Amino acid sequence: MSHNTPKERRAHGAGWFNKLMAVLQGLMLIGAVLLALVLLILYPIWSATGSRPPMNLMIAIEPTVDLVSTIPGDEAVRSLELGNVYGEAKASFKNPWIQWFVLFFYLQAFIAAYLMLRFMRQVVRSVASGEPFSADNPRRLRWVGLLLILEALYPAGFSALLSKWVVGGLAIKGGTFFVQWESGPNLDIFLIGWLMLILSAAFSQGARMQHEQELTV
Amino acid sequence: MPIKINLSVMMARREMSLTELSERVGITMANLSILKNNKAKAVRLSTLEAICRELDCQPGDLIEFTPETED
Repeated sequence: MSHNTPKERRAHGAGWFNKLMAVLQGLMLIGAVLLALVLLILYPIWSATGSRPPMNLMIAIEPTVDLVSTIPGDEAVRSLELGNVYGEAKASFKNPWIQWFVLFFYLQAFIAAYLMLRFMRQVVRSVASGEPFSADNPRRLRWVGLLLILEALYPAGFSALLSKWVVGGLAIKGGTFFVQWESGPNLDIFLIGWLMLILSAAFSQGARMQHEQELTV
Repeated sequence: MPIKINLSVMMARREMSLTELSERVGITMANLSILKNNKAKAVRLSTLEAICRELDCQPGDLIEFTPETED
């Protein structure tokens, strides 16, 4: 198949990129469907039969103990003060809603990724077909930006909530401990989301100019 | 819109169809239709020149300004 005109070459080049995005989109959809099945069908069965599997958590322990070096002879290290110690833990919750909430968090992340990829594919297709400033592209870019900002901000709040739930029922000697989900809002993702909103505004202006140009005889 | 394009009137006077005018002027029928139905946002001077030449008229014969009345 030859691609002689610039439009055909653009469409061919974008075709590979579009296919890659389609594969990613498909994977997100599969993940979302599987998680939805777990949440809606398997999880109630596990809860009813008492066979809910434990959940993996990343935890951080902030010990309040000081270690003192016991190296005989050359005491290069006088004392060692431990900072946060990170590790994995398996947690089983009496309250089934906590684990359900965590799984739902993963489900919405898959749905958000699927939607973002879908919108981006539509933008790529319109650009490849020579209509980058179509009327729908500003809306699509705006949705991608808002979803990115949401994904950047709320995991930090979710982490705090999960910590409260998990830590609230546990005590540990020699230190405090918390669930390490996200250290805070993801600034990089937030800025990219903000950039998408700016691009959406620019594309909106472009769409208006395109429309005016189409109605110029 | 206060500006009206009286293309239909001039075409009828010269007994010219939309198809024939679009071929002579070199504009697609779709664009000419936009102009004829007063949907156009702007007209290029080159387009206006071509239409006036083919319809043997002045720009003022084609373009009419009707101020909008306040209700």
